[in-house]
Amino acid sequence: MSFDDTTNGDGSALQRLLNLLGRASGTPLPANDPMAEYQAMIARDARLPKTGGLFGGDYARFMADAAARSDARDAMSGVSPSPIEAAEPNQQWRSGNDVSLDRALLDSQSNGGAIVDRGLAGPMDGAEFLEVGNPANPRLRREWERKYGRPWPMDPTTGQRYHVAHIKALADGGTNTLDNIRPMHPAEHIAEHIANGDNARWARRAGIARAFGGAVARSELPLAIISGLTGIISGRTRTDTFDNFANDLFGMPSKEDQRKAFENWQRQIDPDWKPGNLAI
Amino acid sequence: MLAAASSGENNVNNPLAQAGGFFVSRASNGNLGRRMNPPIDISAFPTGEPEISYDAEDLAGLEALKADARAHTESWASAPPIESLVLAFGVAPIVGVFLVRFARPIARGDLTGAAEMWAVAGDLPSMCFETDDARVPSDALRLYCAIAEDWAETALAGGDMSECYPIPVEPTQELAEMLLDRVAFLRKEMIPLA
Repeated sequence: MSFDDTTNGDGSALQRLLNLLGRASGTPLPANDPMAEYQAMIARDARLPKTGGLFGGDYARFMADAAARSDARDAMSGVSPSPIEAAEPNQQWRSGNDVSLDRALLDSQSNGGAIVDRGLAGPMDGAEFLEVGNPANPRLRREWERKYGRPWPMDPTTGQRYHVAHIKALADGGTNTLDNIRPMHPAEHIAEHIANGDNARWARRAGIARAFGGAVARSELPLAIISGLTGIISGRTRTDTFDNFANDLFGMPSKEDQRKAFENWQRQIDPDWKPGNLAI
Repeated sequence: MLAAASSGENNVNNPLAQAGGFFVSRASNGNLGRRMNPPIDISAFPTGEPEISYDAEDLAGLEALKADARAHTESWASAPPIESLVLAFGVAPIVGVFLVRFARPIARGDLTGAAEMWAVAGDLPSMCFETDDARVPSDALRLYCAIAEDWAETALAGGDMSECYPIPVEPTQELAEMLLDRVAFLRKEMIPLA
Protein backbone atom coordinates (compact mmCIF):
# COMPACT_ATOMS: atom_id res chain seq x y z
CA MET A 1 0.00 0.00 0.00
CA SER A 2 1.37 3.41 -0.91
CA PHE A 3 0.31 6.76 0.39
CA ASP A 4 0.18 10.25 -1.05
CA ASP A 5 -1.07 13.72 -0.36
CA THR A 6 -4.65 12.71 -0.89
CA THR A 7 -4.61 9.86 1.59
CA ASN A 8 -7.29 10.25 4.20
CA GLY A 9 -7.73 8.51 7.46
CA ASP A 10 -5.69 8.27 10.62
CA GLY A 11 -2.25 9.90 10.44
CA SER A 12 -2.98 11.65 7.18
CA ALA A 13 -1.25 14.84 8.35
CA LEU A 14 1.88 12.90 9.17
CA GLN A 15 1.64 10.96 5.98
CA ARG A 16 1.51 14.24 4.09
CA LEU A 17 4.60 15.45 5.92
CA LEU A 18 6.47 12.24 5.22
CA ASN A 19 5.66 12.67 1.57
CA LEU A 20 7.05 16.19 1.62
CA LEU A 21 10.18 15.10 3.45
CA GLY A 22 10.65 12.26 1.05
CA ARG A 23 10.42 14.55 -1.94
CA ALA A 24 12.72 17.15 -0.36
CA SER A 25 15.35 14.55 0.42
CA GLY A 26 14.96 12.80 -2.93
CA THR A 27 14.06 9.58 -1.16
CA PRO A 28 11.65 7.33 -3.10
CA LEU A 29 8.28 7.09 -1.44
CA PRO A 30 7.96 3.82 0.47
CA ALA A 31 5.56 1.20 -0.68
CA ASN A 32 4.51 0.45 2.88
CA ASP A 33 2.68 2.82 5.17
CA PRO A 34 5.15 3.97 7.85
CA MET A 35 2.41 5.65 9.84
CA ALA A 36 0.47 2.44 10.14
CA GLU A 37 3.65 0.75 11.32
CA TYR A 38 4.23 3.50 13.86
CA GLN A 39 0.68 3.30 15.17
CA ALA A 40 0.93 -0.46 15.49
CA MET A 41 4.15 -0.01 17.47
CA ILE A 42 2.42 2.45 19.81
CA ALA A 43 -0.44 0.01 20.27
CA ARG A 44 2.02 -2.74 21.23
CA ASP A 45 3.70 -0.41 23.73
CA ALA A 46 0.37 0.41 25.37
CA ARG A 47 0.01 -3.21 26.42
CA LEU A 48 3.36 -3.21 28.19
CA PRO A 49 3.79 -2.09 31.80
CA LYS A 50 5.66 1.14 32.22
CA THR A 51 7.87 1.89 35.17
CA GLY A 52 7.77 5.65 35.40
CA GLY A 53 7.21 5.78 31.67
CA LEU A 54 9.82 6.05 28.95
CA PHE A 55 8.39 7.90 26.03
CA GLY A 56 6.39 11.01 25.39
CA GLY A 57 8.38 12.95 27.99
CA ASP A 58 7.33 10.67 30.86
CA TYR A 59 10.91 9.87 31.74
CA ALA A 60 11.52 13.50 32.63
CA ARG A 61 8.67 13.35 35.08
CA PHE A 62 10.15 10.17 36.52
CA MET A 63 13.32 12.08 37.21
CA ALA A 64 11.33 14.76 38.97
CA ASP A 65 9.67 12.12 41.15
CA ALA A 66 9.73 13.62 44.61
CA ALA A 67 8.44 10.38 46.02
CA ALA A 68 11.49 8.54 44.70
CA ARG A 69 13.75 11.02 46.41
CA SER A 70 11.74 10.65 49.58
CA ASP A 71 12.23 6.90 49.37
CA ALA A 72 15.94 7.45 49.07
CA ARG A 73 15.96 9.47 52.26
CA ASP A 74 13.79 6.97 54.11
CA ALA A 75 15.82 3.99 53.02
CA MET A 76 19.01 5.55 54.21
CA SER A 77 17.57 6.49 57.58
CA GLY A 78 16.11 3.07 58.20
CA VAL A 79 12.49 4.20 57.93
CA SER A 80 10.24 1.76 56.09
CA PRO A 81 10.20 2.94 52.51
CA SER A 82 7.07 3.46 50.45
CA PRO A 83 6.75 2.33 46.88
CA ILE A 84 7.92 4.76 44.25
CA GLU A 85 4.90 6.46 42.81
CA ALA A 86 4.46 8.27 39.56
CA ALA A 87 5.27 11.95 39.78
CA GLU A 88 2.87 14.73 39.13
CA PRO A 89 3.28 16.28 35.70
CA ASN A 90 5.30 19.40 35.14
CA GLN A 91 7.52 18.96 38.15
CA GLN A 92 10.93 20.44 37.57
CA TRP A 93 13.45 17.73 38.36
CA ARG A 94 15.98 20.32 39.34
CA SER A 95 14.09 21.19 42.50
CA GLY A 96 15.79 20.10 45.66
CA ASN A 97 16.87 21.29 49.04
CA ASP A 98 19.91 23.43 49.50
CA VAL A 99 21.55 21.22 52.07
CA SER A 100 24.27 19.21 50.47
CA LEU A 101 23.87 15.51 51.01
CA ASP A 102 27.54 15.06 51.56
CA ARG A 103 27.50 17.42 54.54
CA ALA A 104 24.48 15.60 55.94
CA LEU A 105 26.29 12.33 55.60
CA LEU A 106 29.44 13.56 57.23
CA ASP A 107 27.42 14.96 60.11
CA SER A 108 25.64 11.66 60.55
CA GLN A 109 28.81 9.66 60.40
CA SER A 110 30.57 11.86 62.93
CA ASN A 111 27.66 11.34 65.26
CA GLY A 112 27.97 7.60 64.76
CA GLY A 113 24.28 7.33 64.09
CA ALA A 114 22.16 6.31 61.16
CA ILE A 115 22.61 8.28 58.02
CA VAL A 116 19.90 10.83 57.63
CA ASP A 117 19.46 12.62 54.38
CA ARG A 118 18.51 16.12 55.40
CA GLY A 119 18.28 17.19 51.83
CA LEU A 120 19.15 15.92 48.41
CA ALA A 121 21.84 17.50 46.31
CA GLY A 122 20.46 19.26 43.27
CA PRO A 123 22.24 19.16 39.95
CA MET A 124 23.80 22.60 40.40
CA ASP A 125 25.40 22.03 43.80
CA GLY A 126 28.69 21.04 42.22
CA ALA A 127 28.67 17.60 43.79
CA GLU A 128 30.56 15.07 41.77
CA PHE A 129 29.59 11.72 43.19
CA LEU A 130 30.23 8.96 40.77
CA GLU A 131 29.84 5.20 40.93
CA VAL A 132 32.37 4.02 38.44
CA GLY A 133 32.53 0.27 39.04
CA ASN A 134 35.40 0.62 41.49
CA PRO A 135 36.77 -2.81 42.40
CA ALA A 136 37.08 -1.61 45.99
CA ASN A 137 33.28 -1.27 46.25
CA PRO A 138 32.52 -4.72 47.72
CA ARG A 139 35.03 -4.11 50.50
CA LEU A 140 33.69 -0.64 51.14
CA ARG A 141 30.13 -1.90 51.33
CA ARG A 142 31.15 -4.58 53.85
CA GLU A 143 32.99 -2.02 55.95
CA TRP A 144 29.94 0.25 55.87
CA GLU A 145 27.66 -2.57 56.97
CA ARG A 146 29.96 -3.46 59.83
CA LYS A 147 30.14 0.15 61.01
CA TYR A 148 26.41 0.88 60.85
CA GLY A 149 25.18 -2.56 61.76
CA ARG A 150 22.70 -2.91 58.90
CA PRO A 151 22.65 -4.07 55.29
CA TRP A 152 23.79 -1.82 52.50
CA PRO A 153 20.68 0.04 51.25
CA MET A 154 18.66 -1.34 48.42
CA ASP A 155 15.74 0.08 46.42
CA PRO A 156 12.79 -1.98 47.69
CA THR A 157 10.87 -1.67 44.45
CA THR A 158 13.54 -2.72 42.01
CA GLY A 159 15.88 -4.65 44.28
CA GLN A 160 18.74 -2.56 42.95
CA ARG A 161 21.58 -2.07 45.37
CA TYR A 162 22.52 1.52 46.06
CA HIS A 163 25.72 2.63 44.44
CA VAL A 164 28.94 3.41 46.27
CA ALA A 165 29.46 7.11 45.75
CA HIS A 166 32.72 8.84 46.59
CA ILE A 167 32.32 12.13 48.40
CA LYS A 168 35.59 13.35 46.96
CA ALA A 169 36.04 11.85 43.52
CA LEU A 170 38.94 9.50 43.06
CA ALA A 171 40.01 11.62 40.10
CA ASP A 172 40.29 14.57 42.45
CA GLY A 173 42.46 12.73 44.94
CA GLY A 174 39.70 11.08 46.94
CA THR A 175 40.33 7.71 48.52
CA ASN A 176 38.65 4.34 48.65
CA THR A 177 38.05 4.63 52.36
CA LEU A 178 34.92 4.43 54.42
CA ASP A 179 35.01 8.09 55.37
CA ASN A 180 34.91 9.05 51.70
CA ILE A 181 31.93 7.05 50.53
CA ARG A 182 28.21 7.04 50.95
CA PRO A 183 25.32 5.04 49.51
CA MET A 184 23.56 6.69 46.60
CA HIS A 185 20.29 5.73 44.98
CA PRO A 186 20.87 4.58 41.38
CA ALA A 187 18.41 7.15 40.01
CA GLU A 188 20.24 9.91 41.83
CA HIS A 189 23.51 8.61 40.45
CA ILE A 190 22.08 8.82 36.96
CA ALA A 191 20.94 12.35 37.70
CA GLU A 192 24.48 13.19 38.73
CA HIS A 193 25.81 11.84 35.45
CA ILE A 194 23.38 14.11 33.64
CA ALA A 195 24.16 17.04 35.88
CA ASN A 196 27.92 16.73 35.52
CA GLY A 197 27.91 16.14 31.80
CA ASP A 198 29.99 13.03 32.30
CA ASN A 199 30.24 10.45 29.58
CA ALA A 200 28.75 12.93 27.16
CA ARG A 201 31.11 11.90 24.41
CA TRP A 202 29.39 8.90 22.93
CA ALA A 203 30.46 8.49 19.37
CA ARG A 204 33.98 7.49 20.33
CA ARG A 205 33.04 4.64 22.67
CA ALA A 206 34.12 1.52 20.87
CA GLY A 207 30.84 -0.38 20.85
CA ILE A 208 28.78 2.62 19.89
CA ALA A 209 31.31 3.78 17.32
CA ARG A 210 31.22 0.42 15.58
CA ALA A 211 27.44 0.34 15.60
CA PHE A 212 27.27 3.89 14.38
CA GLY A 213 30.00 3.50 11.82
CA GLY A 214 31.88 6.44 13.26
CA ALA A 215 35.41 6.81 14.52
CA VAL A 216 36.64 4.93 17.55
CA ALA A 217 38.73 7.03 19.93
CA ARG A 218 42.24 7.14 18.63
CA SER A 219 44.84 5.43 20.77
CA GLU A 220 48.15 7.00 21.53
CA LEU A 221 51.17 6.45 19.33
CA PRO A 222 52.40 4.06 18.09
CA LEU A 223 49.04 2.26 17.96
CA ALA A 224 47.45 5.27 16.31
CA ILE A 225 49.59 4.55 13.28
CA ILE A 226 47.55 1.41 12.63
CA SER A 227 44.28 3.30 12.57
CA GLY A 228 46.00 5.95 10.51
CA LEU A 229 46.99 3.44 7.85
CA THR A 230 43.51 2.01 7.64
CA GLY A 231 42.28 5.57 7.43
CA ILE A 232 44.39 6.11 4.32
CA ILE A 233 42.96 3.00 2.75
CA SER A 234 39.40 4.01 3.55
CA GLY A 235 39.92 7.56 2.38
CA ARG A 236 39.32 9.03 5.81
CA THR A 237 42.94 10.20 5.95
CA ARG A 238 43.67 12.62 3.16
CA THR A 239 46.92 12.44 1.26
CA ASP A 240 46.56 15.48 -1.01
CA THR A 241 48.75 17.68 1.17
CA PHE A 242 51.19 16.93 3.96
CA ASP A 243 49.27 19.19 6.34
CA ASN A 244 45.98 17.36 5.69
CA PHE A 245 47.68 13.98 5.98
CA ALA A 246 49.49 14.74 9.25
CA ASN A 247 46.48 16.27 10.90
CA ASP A 248 44.04 13.59 9.75
CA LEU A 249 46.42 11.02 11.16
CA PHE A 250 46.18 12.60 14.58
CA GLY A 251 42.57 13.64 14.39
CA MET A 252 43.29 17.35 14.25
CA PRO A 253 41.83 20.04 12.00
CA SER A 254 44.31 20.99 9.27
CA LYS A 255 44.89 24.52 8.01
CA GLU A 256 42.53 23.76 5.13
CA ASP A 257 39.85 22.53 7.57
CA GLN A 258 40.18 25.64 9.65
CA ARG A 259 40.04 27.88 6.61
CA LYS A 260 36.90 26.16 5.33
CA ALA A 261 35.31 26.32 8.76
CA PHE A 262 36.02 30.03 8.95
CA GLU A 263 34.61 30.64 5.46
CA ASN A 264 31.46 28.65 6.25
CA TRP A 265 31.03 30.61 9.45
CA GLN A 266 31.36 33.92 7.60
CA ARG A 267 28.86 32.83 4.94
CA GLN A 268 26.37 31.85 7.63
CA ILE A 269 26.51 35.41 8.86
CA ASP A 270 26.55 36.95 5.38
CA PRO A 271 25.72 34.68 2.45
CA ASP A 272 27.45 37.13 0.07
CA TRP A 273 30.74 37.03 1.96
CA LYS A 274 33.72 35.93 -0.13
CA PRO A 275 37.30 35.03 0.76
CA GLY A 276 39.29 38.23 0.81
CA ASN A 277 36.44 40.26 2.28
CA LEU A 278 36.85 41.65 5.73
CA ALA A 279 35.97 39.19 8.48
CA ILE A 280 32.54 39.74 9.99
CA MET B 1 58.19 10.23 10.92
CA LEU B 2 57.71 8.10 14.03
CA ALA B 3 60.67 9.66 15.78
CA ALA B 4 59.49 13.15 14.99
CA ALA B 5 55.97 12.34 16.05
CA SER B 6 56.97 10.81 19.33
CA SER B 7 59.42 13.53 20.25
CA GLY B 8 56.61 15.72 21.54
CA GLU B 9 58.34 18.82 20.26
CA ASN B 10 56.11 21.74 19.59
CA ASN B 11 58.04 23.06 16.59
CA VAL B 12 55.73 25.40 14.74
CA ASN B 13 57.72 24.92 11.55
CA ASN B 14 57.11 21.19 11.54
CA PRO B 15 53.41 20.31 11.24
CA LEU B 16 54.00 16.68 12.13
CA ALA B 17 55.88 17.60 15.29
CA GLN B 18 53.05 19.94 16.14
CA ALA B 19 50.52 17.20 15.72
CA GLY B 20 52.78 14.83 17.65
CA GLY B 21 51.62 16.66 20.77
CA PHE B 22 48.60 14.42 20.68
CA PHE B 23 46.43 16.28 23.13
CA VAL B 24 47.42 19.74 22.02
CA SER B 25 44.74 21.61 20.16
CA ARG B 26 46.19 24.00 17.63
CA ALA B 27 42.87 25.74 17.48
CA SER B 28 43.28 26.58 21.14
CA ASN B 29 46.71 28.11 20.49
CA GLY B 30 48.65 25.25 21.89
CA ASN B 31 46.82 25.07 25.17
CA LEU B 32 45.82 21.67 26.31
CA GLY B 33 42.26 21.09 25.32
CA ARG B 34 39.81 19.42 23.06
CA ARG B 35 40.20 20.10 19.39
CA MET B 36 37.69 22.52 17.94
CA ASN B 37 35.30 21.28 15.31
CA PRO B 38 34.05 23.56 12.57
CA PRO B 39 30.41 24.55 13.01
CA ILE B 40 27.78 22.31 11.49
CA ASP B 41 26.64 23.43 8.05
CA ILE B 42 22.95 24.18 8.50
CA SER B 43 22.32 25.22 4.90
CA ALA B 44 20.60 21.91 4.11
CA PHE B 45 18.39 21.89 7.21
CA PRO B 46 14.64 22.10 6.50
CA THR B 47 13.44 25.63 7.05
CA GLY B 48 9.78 25.33 6.10
CA GLU B 49 8.56 26.95 2.89
CA PRO B 50 9.05 26.29 0.12
CA GLU B 51 10.69 22.85 0.17
CA ILE B 52 8.76 21.50 3.16
CA SER B 53 5.50 23.31 3.80
CA TYR B 54 4.93 22.66 7.47
CA ASP B 55 1.38 23.52 8.45
CA ALA B 56 0.31 24.97 11.78
CA GLU B 57 -0.15 21.55 13.36
CA ASP B 58 3.30 20.45 12.21
CA LEU B 59 4.87 23.58 13.62
CA ALA B 60 3.12 23.19 16.96
CA GLY B 61 4.38 19.64 17.23
CA LEU B 62 7.88 20.70 16.33
CA GLU B 63 7.78 23.45 18.93
CA ALA B 64 6.89 20.87 21.54
CA LEU B 65 9.83 18.72 20.47
CA LYS B 66 12.06 21.76 20.58
CA ALA B 67 10.98 22.50 24.12
CA ASP B 68 11.76 18.92 25.16
CA ALA B 69 15.16 19.08 23.51
CA ARG B 70 15.94 22.37 25.21
CA ALA B 71 14.85 21.07 28.60
CA HIS B 72 17.00 17.98 28.29
CA THR B 73 20.06 19.93 27.17
CA GLU B 74 19.65 22.44 29.98
CA SER B 75 19.40 19.61 32.51
CA TRP B 76 23.16 19.06 32.17
CA ALA B 77 24.90 21.21 34.75
CA SER B 78 27.82 21.76 32.41
CA ALA B 79 25.54 23.13 29.67
CA PRO B 80 26.19 26.82 28.93
CA PRO B 81 23.30 29.11 28.03
CA ILE B 82 21.69 28.11 24.76
CA GLU B 83 21.87 30.66 21.99
CA SER B 84 19.61 28.79 19.58
CA LEU B 85 18.13 25.44 18.66
CA VAL B 86 18.00 24.89 14.93
CA LEU B 87 15.63 22.26 13.57
CA ALA B 88 17.67 19.74 11.62
CA PHE B 89 14.97 17.16 11.02
CA GLY B 90 11.56 16.66 12.55
CA VAL B 91 8.45 14.57 12.31
CA ALA B 92 6.36 15.45 15.31
CA PRO B 93 5.61 13.75 17.60
CA ILE B 94 7.88 10.91 16.55
CA VAL B 95 11.31 12.49 16.55
CA GLY B 96 13.03 15.85 16.28
CA VAL B 97 16.72 16.48 15.76
CA PHE B 98 18.00 19.90 16.72
CA LEU B 99 21.38 21.54 16.51
CA VAL B 100 22.02 23.23 19.83
CA ARG B 101 24.24 26.29 19.63
CA PHE B 102 25.59 27.53 22.93
CA ALA B 103 26.26 31.17 23.76
CA ARG B 104 29.74 30.12 24.89
CA PRO B 105 31.72 26.87 24.69
CA ILE B 106 31.20 24.12 27.23
CA ALA B 107 33.65 24.71 30.05
CA ARG B 108 33.87 21.29 31.71
CA GLY B 109 33.27 17.63 31.21
CA ASP B 110 34.03 15.44 28.24
CA LEU B 111 32.89 18.06 25.75
CA THR B 112 34.97 20.96 27.00
CA GLY B 113 35.36 23.51 24.21
CA ALA B 114 32.35 22.40 22.18
CA ALA B 115 29.97 25.14 21.12
CA GLU B 116 27.41 22.87 19.48
CA MET B 117 25.64 19.62 20.26
CA TRP B 118 22.87 17.56 18.73
CA ALA B 119 19.72 17.17 20.78
CA VAL B 120 17.12 14.55 19.94
CA ALA B 121 13.63 14.49 21.43
CA GLY B 122 10.31 12.93 20.61
CA ASP B 123 8.41 9.81 21.41
CA LEU B 124 11.62 8.32 22.76
CA PRO B 125 14.26 9.16 25.39
CA SER B 126 15.79 12.56 24.83
CA MET B 127 19.52 12.69 24.36
CA CYS B 128 22.20 15.17 23.55
CA PHE B 129 25.60 14.30 22.22
CA GLU B 130 28.62 15.62 20.39
CA THR B 131 28.75 16.68 16.74
CA ASP B 132 32.28 15.46 16.04
CA ASP B 133 31.41 12.38 14.05
CA ALA B 134 27.86 13.26 13.08
CA ARG B 135 27.99 16.25 10.79
CA VAL B 136 24.55 15.92 9.17
CA PRO B 137 21.09 15.17 10.60
CA SER B 138 20.97 11.62 9.26
CA ASP B 139 24.24 10.80 10.99
CA ALA B 140 22.94 12.38 14.18
CA LEU B 141 19.96 10.06 14.02
CA ARG B 142 22.21 7.10 13.31
CA LEU B 143 24.31 7.98 16.32
CA TYR B 144 21.18 8.32 18.43
CA CYS B 145 20.15 4.84 17.33
CA ALA B 146 23.55 3.43 18.22
CA ILE B 147 23.51 4.98 21.69
CA ALA B 148 19.95 3.81 22.31
CA GLU B 149 20.75 0.31 21.10
CA ASP B 150 23.76 0.23 23.40
CA TRP B 151 21.49 1.05 26.36
CA ALA B 152 18.82 -1.46 25.37
CA GLU B 153 21.20 -4.29 24.65
CA THR B 154 23.09 -3.73 27.89
CA ALA B 155 19.79 -3.70 29.76
CA LEU B 156 18.66 -6.93 28.11
CA ALA B 157 21.95 -8.58 28.96
CA GLY B 158 21.77 -7.36 32.55
CA GLY B 159 25.10 -5.61 32.10
CA ASP B 160 26.65 -2.60 33.77
CA MET B 161 24.51 0.39 32.85
CA SER B 162 26.96 2.92 34.22
CA GLU B 163 28.75 3.12 30.87
CA CYS B 164 25.54 3.62 28.93
CA TYR B 165 23.73 6.87 28.26
CA PRO B 166 22.01 7.86 31.50
CA ILE B 167 18.38 7.27 30.56
CA PRO B 168 16.68 7.70 33.93
CA VAL B 169 14.36 4.73 33.89
CA GLU B 170 14.65 1.17 35.10
CA PRO B 171 16.58 -0.95 32.62
CA THR B 172 13.83 -3.54 32.27
CA GLN B 173 13.35 -5.97 29.45
CA GLU B 174 10.07 -4.37 28.43
CA LEU B 175 11.47 -0.88 28.17
CA ALA B 176 14.57 -2.10 26.39
CA GLU B 177 12.45 -3.87 23.80
CA MET B 178 10.27 -0.80 23.37
CA LEU B 179 13.35 1.26 22.75
CA LEU B 180 14.68 -1.24 20.22
CA ASP B 181 11.35 -1.07 18.40
CA ARG B 182 11.67 2.69 18.24
CA VAL B 183 15.21 2.46 16.97
CA ALA B 184 14.24 0.01 14.26
CA PHE B 185 11.51 2.39 13.16
CA LEU B 186 13.91 5.31 13.06
CA ARG B 187 16.41 3.37 10.99
CA LYS B 188 13.85 2.13 8.55
CA GLU B 189 11.56 5.11 8.14
CA MET B 190 13.14 8.28 9.47
CA ILE B 191 16.85 8.16 8.67
CA PRO B 192 16.30 7.81 4.90
CA LEU B 193 14.31 11.03 5.00
CA ALA B 194 16.78 13.00 7.12
